[in-house]
Parts: sequence; C-alpha cells; structure tokens
Amino acid sequence: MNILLISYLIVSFACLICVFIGYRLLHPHNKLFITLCYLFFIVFFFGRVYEVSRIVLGLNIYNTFELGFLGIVGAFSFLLSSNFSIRGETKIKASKKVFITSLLFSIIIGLMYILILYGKVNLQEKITDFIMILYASSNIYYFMRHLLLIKDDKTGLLKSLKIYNILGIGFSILIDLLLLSFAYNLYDNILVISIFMGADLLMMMLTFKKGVEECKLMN
Amino acid sequence: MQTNELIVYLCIVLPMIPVVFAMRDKFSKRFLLFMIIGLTVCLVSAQLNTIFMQKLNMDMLNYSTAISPINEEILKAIPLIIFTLAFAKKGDEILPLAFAIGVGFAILESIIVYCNNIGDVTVSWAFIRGFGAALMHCVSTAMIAMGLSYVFNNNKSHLEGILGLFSLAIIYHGIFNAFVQSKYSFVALLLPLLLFIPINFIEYKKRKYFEKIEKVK
Repeated sequence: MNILLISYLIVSFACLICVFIGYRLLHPHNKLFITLCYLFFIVFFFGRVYEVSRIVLGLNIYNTFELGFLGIVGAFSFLLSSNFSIRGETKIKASKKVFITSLLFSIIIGLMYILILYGKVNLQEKITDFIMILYASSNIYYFMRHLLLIKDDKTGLLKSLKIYNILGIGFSILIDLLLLSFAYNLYDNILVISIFMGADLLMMMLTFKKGVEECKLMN
Repeated sequence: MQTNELIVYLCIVLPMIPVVFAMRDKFSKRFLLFMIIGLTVCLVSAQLNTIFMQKLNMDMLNYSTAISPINEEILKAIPLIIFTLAFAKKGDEILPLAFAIGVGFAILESIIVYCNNIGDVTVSWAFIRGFGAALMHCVSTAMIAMGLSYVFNNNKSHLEGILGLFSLAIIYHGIFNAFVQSKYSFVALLLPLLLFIPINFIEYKKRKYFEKIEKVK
C-alpha cells in the first residue's frame, strides 16, 4: 500500500476518534471556543478524507492544485477563532514581554518556510504552503501567549488548558514539518509525522475536553 | 451560453415565477424565490465551469474535484450573505433558505448532467444523483448558513469561523464529486446522509434547548 495513503488513513482515523470522543462539545449551551475547537477536528478530518479519496481514485496529489490544503487552512481557521475566543474569555491584557516572546517564537517556527522555498515546489505550492504556515504561526502565537499568561489568569481556564496549548504548538510544528517533507519528497518522514500527528490530535482532544470539564464549562 | 441549458432553466423557472406571487405567507414565498436563485446560480456556475475548464486545461474528474467545488460554493453563498446582511430579521430564517438554494442548484445540475449523458444513465444513477447530489448541495450550503446564522444571532463577526465553514463545505463537495464519478458511487449517496442527519439533529436540539430557556424565562 502507498505510504501516503497509510499516513493519511492514520490521521483520518485519529480525527474520526476525536470527533466521536468530543461529540458533547457541540452542545448549544457550550461556549463558542469549545464548539470552534470541535469544528477544527471535523474540518481536519474531512481534509484528510479528501486526500484519501484522491489517492484511492487514482488522482494526482503531487504538484497539482487540490483541495487538501483547504482542510488544513479551514482547521487552522477554526483553531485561530477558538484561540481568539479564549483570549476574549480570559480578558487578560498581555504585557509587551509576553507579546514579543510569543511573536518571536511564532516567527522562528514560521521561518521554516524559507527551507520550503529551496525544495522542489512549484509556484502554486509556494503560495498554498505560505498560507498554511502563516496560519500555523498565528496559532502558535496564541498557544504560546496562553501558556505565558497562565499565572495572570484568574478564571483558571488557561491553567486547565496548559497541555492542550503545548500539544497545539506541537500540531502546528508537525504541519510545518509535513509541508517540508513534501517539499523535499521525504515520504518516509511523512509516515512518521502522521503517526505523531494522530497521537497529538488524540491527546489534544482528550486534554481539551478534560480542561473544559475541569472549568465546568461543558454541558 | 449553451442553448440547451438555458432552455431547461427557463422551462423550470418560468412556471415558478408566477407561483412566487401567488404564495400567501412570507416563508413559502422566500423558499420558492431561493429555489429559483439556486437554479440561476447553477446556470451561472455551469457557464463559469465551462470557461475555467478550458482556460485551465484540466480533465473533467480533476476539475470537478479541485476547482468546481470552490466556484459553486462561493456562488451559492453569495445570495445567502446578501440576504443575511440586508433582509434577515432572525438568524433562524437563513437555514431553510440555504436548503432551498441547495435543492434548486441540484435540480438543474442533475438535468444538465443527464442531458450531456442521455444514453449512459440508469435509474440507479438517478437515485444517486437525485438524492445524493440534492442532499450534498443542501448540506454544503447549510454549513455556511449555520455560520451566518450564528454571526447574525450573536452580532459578532467571526470571519475566521466563516472561512473555516467555507473550507468544510468546499472539501465536502470535493469528496462527493470524487466518489460520484467513481465505481464507489454508493459512498456519494451515503456521505450526504451522514451529515444531513446530524445537521438536522443539531438544529432540532438547539431549537428545543432555546425553547426550554424561553419557557423558564
């Protein structure tokens, strides 16, 4: 079986489990950031299923425009929206130090894009990869910010979501590494990254669910 | 514009126009009007797809799984966005109209596909196309409508969230288009059902929940 197909199936399966585990997160009484986080898993799942369907049907997924990247962009959009809502929920004004540290961290990770530019990528891939890395870095900024603000948070939300935030950074970095592996045609790496990504996603769902339950925010 | 498509479009839409005026209640009027909009959007997107396919020099399968979902979902969402911004008074009004656009779109799309493959189609094709495609178009438009409805109800702008829902609708459409043209076309029939039921269940649960809150108040 194709290595890519196995990789995508692993991540799809992990996402599907996450969708089943967290079905209660969709309750209408739940806070917006909870629903948005759940939608992140759904979009990511569909994005991976789309890739699986293209491989199964014998369609090209290399050096061509396809919708798989929208799965990542859409997922990151929900994650960003969720992070933004958490920021609104905690109502903490970050100090300059926190702002600069988070920003620098996200920019450093984002610089991985330069390595992608030197890989075997066409213009269309350069653009889509840039969008994905931009989204990943924006999310890393918020995850980092939430980690640095744990002490200032009186609601206890950031403390209970500490591991989730660390795993969120891990997920964003794994996406960057995935793009990098594609740029250099390192398909064996993709399998390893996918295994880590699947585990990371499962842990993210479990820690997020536990975190919001701890804060009594879930119905 | 291809004459056949225009003739089919006119044959369906023209009898519907007087009926819109004959409808008594606002909801029925709007529903029928949005079905007509859905049919019109399908005609426009069919023309755009023909132009883009020639310009991009892509084969049908690749084009329908990669480009046409983007084109169609954006076109279907435009009337909904205009309605939400200019005419909607309640967020709940948006979802049924999204279904109407989806049904209208699916009807004309199925007929156009049928006209282009008259000799090859079977009754099972009609089932998959008629049932699956209609539900798929309804569900994908409903996803965007749910986001718009949320934004409307809560008076908050969640551009990122709407973008996420757009992505979801487009990918879902892409998966459907991929399977409907393959030997696994039964998946294309199941896929919309798998989402249509949860979307309606969530809406039902939400309605019940808010009714309960209203009663308590």
